Amino acid sequence: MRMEATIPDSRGKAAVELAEELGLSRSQLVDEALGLYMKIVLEVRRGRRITMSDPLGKEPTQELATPALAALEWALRPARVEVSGETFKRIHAITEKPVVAGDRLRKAAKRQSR
Amino acid sequence: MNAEGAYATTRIEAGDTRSGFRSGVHALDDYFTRHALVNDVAGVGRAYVLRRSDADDATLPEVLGFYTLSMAQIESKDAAEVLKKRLPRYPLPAALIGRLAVDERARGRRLGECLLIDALRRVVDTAAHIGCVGIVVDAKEAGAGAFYAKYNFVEVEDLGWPRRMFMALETARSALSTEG
Repeated sequence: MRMEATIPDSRGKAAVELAEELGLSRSQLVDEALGLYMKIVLEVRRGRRITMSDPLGKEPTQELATPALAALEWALRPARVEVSGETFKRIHAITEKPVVAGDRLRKAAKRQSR
Repeated sequence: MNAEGAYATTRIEAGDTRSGFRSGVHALDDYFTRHALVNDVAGVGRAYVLRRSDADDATLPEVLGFYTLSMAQIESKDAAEVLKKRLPRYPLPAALIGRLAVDERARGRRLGECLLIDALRRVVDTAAHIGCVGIVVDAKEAGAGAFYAKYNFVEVEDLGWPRRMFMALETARSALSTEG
């Protein structure tokens, strides 16, 4: 099977260099990467965490997280929020016409920026 | 605290629940000690923890604060009737900040704000991949309601307790888009 994908130039360049470094064809590299990603998705769906650990135990264990994986985790078990018809109407109205982010919220976001 | 001086949260770990965290609100402390990790592992609600860093005062507690996040479906049996023909996608997908608390020994450092912005950022990032119209919080005390109101959450429930509040995703997104 043949697939096409559009990715950032920087990622494509890195993939080509990595394939050369590992002595793999581009197809082999993509196949292996997809296999690994599918394994990760499978484990996340089972409620597992994907972590990276230092074999010497000197560095703290780090979790591998991406927005897509976080979304997958969250979507597994949504909480049910039952509201009155009026509340539902208000929420719907807010989503239709969102409040403009206030000065305080904007400043907070700026203060806490990464 | 990272190299830039801003705090970063990480997922809860087993040792966190034995760190002696105390917000001064029994229900929140009890939840953190007994349920936060269990629910996180079970996938019911993710718990994110703000830890003391090397740059912090060493007398501060190890865990400075935490919040929980989960996806939610906002439903109402009266939705069709109330909205007449303007029925949106139903139920409405949203994110739920279930609990958010700061250790009482670490107050006055804007850590509540830090946790809230961190939560909003996670929601906005996640909403790039799944449907989410906004963020729901249940403020369980007057002080919490006032806190969320300061940051553009709007009260949407008439019932006295908990004070249910909501922020449209677009409001959070626009605030975070100007953070740089």
